[in-house]
Amino acid sequence: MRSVQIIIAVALGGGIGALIRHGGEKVGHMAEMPAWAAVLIINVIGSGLIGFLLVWLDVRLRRSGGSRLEQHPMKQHLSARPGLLQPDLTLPPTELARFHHRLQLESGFYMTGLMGGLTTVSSWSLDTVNLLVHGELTTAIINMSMSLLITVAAVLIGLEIGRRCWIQTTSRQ
Amino acid sequence: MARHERWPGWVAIVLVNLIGCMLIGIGAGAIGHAGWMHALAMTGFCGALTTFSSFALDVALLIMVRAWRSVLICVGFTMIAGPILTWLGWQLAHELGHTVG
Repeated sequence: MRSVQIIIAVALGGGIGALIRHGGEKVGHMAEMPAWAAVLIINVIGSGLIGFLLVWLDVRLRRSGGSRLEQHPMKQHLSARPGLLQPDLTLPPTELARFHHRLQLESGFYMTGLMGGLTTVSSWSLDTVNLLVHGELTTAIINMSMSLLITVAAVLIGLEIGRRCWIQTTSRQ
Repeated sequence: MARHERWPGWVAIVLVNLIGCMLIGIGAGAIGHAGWMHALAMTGFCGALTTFSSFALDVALLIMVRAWRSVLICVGFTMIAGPILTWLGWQLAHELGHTVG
């Protein structure tokens, strides 16, 4: 039953994300923006959001440790939250299981589903091939390099915003 | 959990993205660039199958731990092999002459 809930969350998020992307591509087309630029903007927005979501979901719901934020250079600020990097042993197993399911459900909806559906490598790849086939080598190189650099920068900014929000929230408590 | 897995998580994302790149190429050659089949198979299925956000997140996290070899493999396979597979899929669909509209 729980795995069915997660599958529904991913499917729902993925559907909504894909529809938002479709809408974004239409708006880009109406604004006479090249197709690759619209996909680039959507991918940058999704990448920034996924960075923020990783922090937001982990600090709220992760109690069993093993967060990917362990790789974050500023992890000392985040390790103050029990259960994030190491399991929170003060919680009973039923509570740990409840938090774990909630985390899987929300990360399934927001990260795998919504952000996965919103952003796309396949359309980016097709746009790049279209540019290359039509001899627009410079634009293709710009699309490839900017997609990598700006999306990774957006993830780092998203992670940092998430971390700062977390620090502000805990300092108020 | 990921530390005990046989393959790191980013490998799965790379593979899924490559499959999506190949499929959208086949779709572009077989379906074209408009119509409900394009919306269903390419915008919907391939678009939702592949993910740039998880790819960018993986690259950012790999850079943080200075796993440069993994960064190179992840970026190289996605950003070089991806468009190559799309082009191959496109050519394959053209060769098979399955253009339906």
